[in-house]
Amino acid sequence: MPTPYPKEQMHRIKYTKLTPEQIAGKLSTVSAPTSASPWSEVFSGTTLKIVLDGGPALTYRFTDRTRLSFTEGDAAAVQAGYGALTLDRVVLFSHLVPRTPRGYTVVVDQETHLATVFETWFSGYEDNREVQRQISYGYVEQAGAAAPAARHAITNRLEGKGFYWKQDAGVETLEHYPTVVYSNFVELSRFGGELSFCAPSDYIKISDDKYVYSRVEAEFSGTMTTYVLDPNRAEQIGVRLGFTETDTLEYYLFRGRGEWVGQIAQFEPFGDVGTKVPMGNRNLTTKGARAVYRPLKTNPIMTKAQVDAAVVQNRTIFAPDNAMAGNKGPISRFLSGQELTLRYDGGMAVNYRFDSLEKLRWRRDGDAVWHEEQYESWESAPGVVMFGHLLTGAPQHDAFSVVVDFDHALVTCLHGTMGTPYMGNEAAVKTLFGVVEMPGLTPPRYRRHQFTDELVGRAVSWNYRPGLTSMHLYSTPHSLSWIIFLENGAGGLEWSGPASYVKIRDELYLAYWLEEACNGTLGTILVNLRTMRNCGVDYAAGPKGLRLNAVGAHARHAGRFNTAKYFAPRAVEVRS
Amino acid sequence: MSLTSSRRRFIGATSLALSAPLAGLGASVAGAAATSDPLPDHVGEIRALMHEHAKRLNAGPDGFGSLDRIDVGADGRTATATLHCVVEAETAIGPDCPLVDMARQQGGGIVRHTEHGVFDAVLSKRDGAWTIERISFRATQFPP
Repeated sequence: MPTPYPKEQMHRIKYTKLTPEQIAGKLSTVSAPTSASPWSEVFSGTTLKIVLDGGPALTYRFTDRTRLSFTEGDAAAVQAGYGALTLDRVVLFSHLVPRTPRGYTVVVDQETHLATVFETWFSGYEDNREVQRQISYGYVEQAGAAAPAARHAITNRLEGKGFYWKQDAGVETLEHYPTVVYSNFVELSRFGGELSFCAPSDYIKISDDKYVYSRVEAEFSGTMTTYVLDPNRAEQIGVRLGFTETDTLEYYLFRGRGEWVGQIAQFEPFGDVGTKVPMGNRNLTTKGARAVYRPLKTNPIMTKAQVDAAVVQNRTIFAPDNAMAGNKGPISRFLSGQELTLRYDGGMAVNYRFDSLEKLRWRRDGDAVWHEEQYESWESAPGVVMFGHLLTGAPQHDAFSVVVDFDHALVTCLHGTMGTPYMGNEAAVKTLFGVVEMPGLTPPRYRRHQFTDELVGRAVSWNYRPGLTSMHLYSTPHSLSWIIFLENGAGGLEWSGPASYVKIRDELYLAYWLEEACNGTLGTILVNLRTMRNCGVDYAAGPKGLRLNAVGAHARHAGRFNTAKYFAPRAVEVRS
Repeated sequence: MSLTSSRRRFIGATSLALSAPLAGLGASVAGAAATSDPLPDHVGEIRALMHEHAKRLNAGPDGFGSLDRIDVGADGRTATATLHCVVEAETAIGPDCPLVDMARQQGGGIVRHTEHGVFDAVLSKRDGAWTIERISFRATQFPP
């Protein structure tokens, strides 16, 4: 029986490093895009001259609805196949430049005659399959009319919006636009909707009710998706260009309909409509340049042996100077002097003696030998204490991040281990539910903390210290995305990883996320949405050794996407 | 020049703060220098030199310059200068962690702030032109 799930999720696929020659060969077999929707004939038999700011004019002669000839500036005319779709007054058409790795996707507003042109090309980055793009703005020349002064332009007016989309060929996605340079998307049909992924993105305003969105799945397949959307009608027309995980060329136009799933907060100053993206000292002036988060560039993959050697050299445990804990709450005195047993479902039980505020001893229930560890603990809500510690000497450099609710004698442990089949310096985690045994506490027999989707769709900003704020988007029941703010408060770079959420009490959640195929960190936080503060433990290993540090930040609500309904298991559609 | 923090550095010369006019910054001439009858262009030259130095470091005048001093030695070949200024500085966020790394990749990972302070300079006249021999920056908690 087929399921909607791939053998590997997007971040685990080893996409082929295609050569320029391989790409040229694949492009040569395709003369025009395909589409499940009928082509528009809006330009058939017409000629358009598109004047671009700072670029050569593009002159098009549309023979019919599938063939055109065009010239770039003074170059010779070239014949190509094309496809066009319309959304209200806006036309999107796309074509390749034969015998080159290049192509164009053009958006024309027939009312204002303004145009946005995406010049696209392969083999422009070290990963040749990653589509590059240069965006130009201009207008369609009108005989006898002066050139318009207005232009389409980048915008933050899409920032914070989210949509569910279903394309004409059946592809379903959830797409969140929480930043002005990145977006977050969930492949509901192609990848089963377990995880969200992030991609560098462009947002362009055509009018108050028409926008262009574009993303390139950098660090993955390199595929580019570009579409015009109408947020009121939740309609889109677009184009997808790139190579699948089987290196098959995808080049098709699509029409889609969807649902608006919400609007989360923006943090720019009032009056800032996003006509500039402040990138500090980044110089992004070369053709096609954009900010792309490429985590493995700065976090090289290590073997287990390399990790083991690095851990021998250095272990950092609850370092006092820690950028992620500038707003850490006070250390709790609750545990100091206590003795207890945490008994987890499945058989494991751990005895604890909390000798002081910073030292504990633990042993597996039944063992004779105690192990001493450094720990920190925080009482997030009355009677709810989180603490974390390493299991020194464990072969996988294990760590526990534990939340105990003493009012109910319940415990949840996030058991972190270092190393996965993919990377030696990547954490893995198991969630253990159980009870507390200590004098005076009678634990429940059946009740346990439980996984929850109450956070799904929510966005919460976290300020770790002055100048260091990120926003979490709890994007699916099994993934979490993090967004770093630009200096003007706009959302900037974004990435995403597997996650889960456990409800401890009302408005009190234990969350973890794994920065898989990234820096390998396991982040565990206890989110208190009443005090708007978190506490937690950050666990990672790399060339500098092992790190187990505290996390502490202040929160602000940033809104919610109403997306939980899209993640409920449903019967697979019968396809003819 | 000496800095009060190893992480502090003066930001590039593109900040809006640099657009503040420096020409209005005044400087007093010490009595000792006045009695040695320094030529007015000594003060003007030194002031211009100090302003140029401050401008390169993205510093602007602090206050109306009433506390600034230029003392020209009796020989007319040595001088000291004190310039009150506001410096736009940035401090790198640390220690390194993935979030800070990500912020740096988008041109961030720093905290910008303004700092009141004083440039103290020792100057000498060589080949007919004033030259800064030594200059240091002292952060002050408050404006002059």
